[in-house]
Amino acid sequence: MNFFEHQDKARKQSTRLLFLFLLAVSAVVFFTAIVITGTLTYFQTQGFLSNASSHMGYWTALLHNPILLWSLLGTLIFIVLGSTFKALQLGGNGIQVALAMNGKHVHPDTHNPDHQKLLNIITEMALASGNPVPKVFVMPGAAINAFAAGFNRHQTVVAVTEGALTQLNRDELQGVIAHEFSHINFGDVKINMRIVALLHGILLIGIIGRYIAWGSYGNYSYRSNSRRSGKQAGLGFALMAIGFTGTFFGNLIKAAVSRQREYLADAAAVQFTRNPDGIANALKKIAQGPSSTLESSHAEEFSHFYFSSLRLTGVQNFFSGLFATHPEIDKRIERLGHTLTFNTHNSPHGSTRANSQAMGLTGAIEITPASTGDIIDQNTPNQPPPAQYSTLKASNIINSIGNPTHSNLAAAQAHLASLPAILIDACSNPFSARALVYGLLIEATNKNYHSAQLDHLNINTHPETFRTLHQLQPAIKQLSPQNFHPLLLLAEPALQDQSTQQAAVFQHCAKALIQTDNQLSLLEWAIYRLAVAPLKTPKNKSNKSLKDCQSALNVLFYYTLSLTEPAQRAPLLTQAEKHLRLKITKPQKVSLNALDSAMNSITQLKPLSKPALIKALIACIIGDGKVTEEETTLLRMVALILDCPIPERFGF
Amino acid sequence: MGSSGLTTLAILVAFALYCIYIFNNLVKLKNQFENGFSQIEVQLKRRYDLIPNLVETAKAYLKHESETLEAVVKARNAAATELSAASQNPGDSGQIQALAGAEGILGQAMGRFNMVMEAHPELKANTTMMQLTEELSSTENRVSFARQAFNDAVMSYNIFRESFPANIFAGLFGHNKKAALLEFEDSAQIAQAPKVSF
Repeated sequence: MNFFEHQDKARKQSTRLLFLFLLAVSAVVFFTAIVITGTLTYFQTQGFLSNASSHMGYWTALLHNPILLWSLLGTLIFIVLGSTFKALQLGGNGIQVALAMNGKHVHPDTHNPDHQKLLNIITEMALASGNPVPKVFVMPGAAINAFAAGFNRHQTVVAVTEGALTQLNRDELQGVIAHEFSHINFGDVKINMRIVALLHGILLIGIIGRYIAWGSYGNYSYRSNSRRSGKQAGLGFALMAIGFTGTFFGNLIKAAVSRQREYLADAAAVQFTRNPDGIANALKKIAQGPSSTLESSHAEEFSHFYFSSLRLTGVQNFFSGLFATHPEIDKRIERLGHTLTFNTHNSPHGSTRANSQAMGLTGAIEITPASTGDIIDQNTPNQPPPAQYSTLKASNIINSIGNPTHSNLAAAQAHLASLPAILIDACSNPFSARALVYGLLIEATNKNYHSAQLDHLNINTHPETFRTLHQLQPAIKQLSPQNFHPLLLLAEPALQDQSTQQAAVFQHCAKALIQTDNQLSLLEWAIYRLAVAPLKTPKNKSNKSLKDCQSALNVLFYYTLSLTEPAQRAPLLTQAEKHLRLKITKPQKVSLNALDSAMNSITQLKPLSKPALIKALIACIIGDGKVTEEETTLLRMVALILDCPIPERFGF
Repeated sequence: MGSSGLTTLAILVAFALYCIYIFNNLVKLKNQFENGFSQIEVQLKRRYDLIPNLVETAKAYLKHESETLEAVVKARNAAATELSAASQNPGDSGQIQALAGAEGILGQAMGRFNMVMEAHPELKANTTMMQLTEELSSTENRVSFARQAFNDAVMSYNIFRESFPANIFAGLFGHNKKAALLEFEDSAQIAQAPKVSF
């Protein structure tokens, strides 16, 4: 299974998940409404039961009661409001999750050596997989754990516990982070965010039930109407029970989805680091440690985000296997080709696994050990060694998307080491990161306009920014355009730390720099869309086919062809059309502005249509035997905007 | 179900959604300025780490100015204490003001130190000293930029908290205190400090 199939599966899983949740919600709504109606009618007409002499009569009367409809509607609205609340609270980015877990933001300027090590590992991995560097958080606590969260690649968060930093060595930590990156790459983090929001709605019923039940006890002492309080308590407990049932099924679904993805992430992590020992040893340390519980009241809510399950030790019974958000740790270690040397729990894994399959929840997402093995064994030899560009094949690039390997990691490390230290340091905080982006924009423009651009900055920015720019410029002048991309990926987290006002000024200045020469170059567009105003991946459904995007594709391919020699264009277009299985016609306008708006519609392509597009694009680019820097910039940008980051390969 | 009943329900739902929006926005804005403070914290810590090195380097040249150096170290330590207190609760105006006060005193001490350094050209020409002052000045820039971001975020929070109708709910949702801006009393002098190195 390649990246696109995983993404497609993830998308289908989201739909399936939604359906299962809807089932759970309908059940909860129905039973809640029945309980509320039952209680209310009992209050209103004490003789209600006596009127309805038989059981059947009671139920018919209940079902025909208008209060039932109202409670149905009311409960439904409640659950929807609860989910909306959570979705809004998470606000589409992982920062809120990290903060809810008491996480503390680690800035790249940190002096703590442990934090610096963590940042280095994450930076390397982000570059290697072609992702913008995520924001990093450290959570308090001695336990070893980690998670990744976020809705899109530009706003992802990776959080690690203090315990993981102090107890794991670099290899082990790298394994853990690689595992989290595979969750980012395969889009699991998006599903996870949705699960939290959906579960919250159901959870609310139980919470309200608890309040009502508690309230009734509080009133008990000073209210003479103890009978009424008794009913109130009854209603409260009934709601609690329903809430728990809802949560029960919700957790079951959450666990089933989450568990399978953990094996996949482990396998991908091994492929990424080519070091099964790292992640296996990390898991062993977790198994030997006291527990991986996190000190936060929200820990349970986000349990499916973590590297290892929250409750590690404890009673191993029928349910604990079913509810586990993660596979059992010795199973995970086993699949990595290791064994847990000590033997503390001999729980019947087989039976719990069989049970979860019998529930019919895991069928579609089951990944057998054989198939995880495939990911490791088959893909790795497929990767071209970093130096051989002549053998650059579309299929290799397609396979590498979302599946970074050890060679990508090595390439990223080499690339980072080759970048001037002063520029890497500039990426560490918003103040100098801005100056860096200004510098890159100036460098991307024709020399004749440089003085005009500098004049503009001199007037519109703070003198200190201008001074910093001056210090960076000599290093920037030495850069080749292929180094722009990694620097911008590095600068992303710092640029996000700007306040809204600062970001507005930044955007204004960047636009002014771009417009000085009255023309938009590809490099300028790439800088703008990467660092200044990233195109957001759509939150709504991405289900467009290639045909639906016909006009956007026309613009994209005619623009791509404009980067090659006119004589070569016709055969390249034929090749692209073969991959796309579409006729590309000449659009009215071929310009970067047209391309920019075309990208908006292309982001909504469904995952399985993306490989054809990327293959066609690659065919256009490498078909003439020459790959220019402009072409690779375009390919990288299109891939990133399509949410399929191409892993780093030195020189590509 | 009557249509009037449905209308009431729709209004109630809209009201609930609005409350949800206000609650979440308050939380989000508070998180934003607290996160903004962590950015200042990193840069100030960096500054506090640099100052002892600076003093150590200067000691050899400034035998007769030990008072100035001691004042710098004392002010630095006081500011570092205030910083760790303020980072616990960046929303507390008392702690933010205490930090601003301590920073003001440190700024004055650094100003005197810079004046002394002007009088000792051989110290100014020391390579280590030049490196340190350069690093200090770039840190100053980062501090002031982070401070601006923090103050912007605090302003957005305060404005939203006091705007109608959020002000009705703000207290109810636990946002009953105005967050304080971080203004350094002696900003002018601090801005001067880095320039001395050129």
